[in-house]
Amino acid sequence: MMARKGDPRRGGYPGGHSRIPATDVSIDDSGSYLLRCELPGVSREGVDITLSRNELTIRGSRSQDEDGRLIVQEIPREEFRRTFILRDDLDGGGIEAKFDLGVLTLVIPRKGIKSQSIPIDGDGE
Amino acid sequence: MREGGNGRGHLGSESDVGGTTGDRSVRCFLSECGWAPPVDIYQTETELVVLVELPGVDRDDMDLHISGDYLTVSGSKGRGGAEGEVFRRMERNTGSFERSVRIPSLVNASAASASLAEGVLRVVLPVAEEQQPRRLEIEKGS
Repeated sequence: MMARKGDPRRGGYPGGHSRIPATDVSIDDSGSYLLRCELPGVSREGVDITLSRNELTIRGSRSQDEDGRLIVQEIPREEFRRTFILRDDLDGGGIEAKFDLGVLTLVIPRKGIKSQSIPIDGDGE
Repeated sequence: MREGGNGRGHLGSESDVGGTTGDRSVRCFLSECGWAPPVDIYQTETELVVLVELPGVDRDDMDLHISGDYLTVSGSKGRGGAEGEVFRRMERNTGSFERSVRIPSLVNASAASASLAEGVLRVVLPVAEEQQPRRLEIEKGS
């Protein structure tokens, strides 16, 4: 399973406040893991995804603020940050990312299930 | 802070400008509207800007209308996912949502415009011209 760091119930990450993005985790029928991570207000350029060993970290900072006086504020100001620990059988090198409508979707394939042609010995008969 | 028995309270810090629906959980429980997205409201001399966080919601799946003093956005949001996909963690809000924001009378609601980018709905409500601050010329005394 993928665990996560920075559990909000334990006070989040050390060294500064951050916003934990709401994330769905699912497994598709090929065994790949899918993360759908909500980063509203973050542009594509503002998303930063890093993989260090088996730690997958997603960060996102919002685009510039509006002008004017803020008279109602419910949206947190902090940057988004969340780290997931990948299972050993997941292929961190094969991650595909897509960002649409403020939702980052990552597809993390299983190791060794990537489609590849396997040579078949024989004389073709 | 919440006012009124119909769930349409407003934040008390500003008398007329940018009040919202107050206690969202109570309001949503009462009206069975699902979840309520968070909003920010900015005010300049010429406009009021309402930002609503709606990540993963397509433009076609939301409805925005102004009725009386209230700007309301509603719609529904799917979780996505292909057939055969098994969810292990579901943190995202899905299903129907609704959020109302009280708009002040100084706004010209008929000139409102809205756009959607990066999962944030941005509604611009221009302040009526006669309500905008203006500088008075001081006539030269003799």
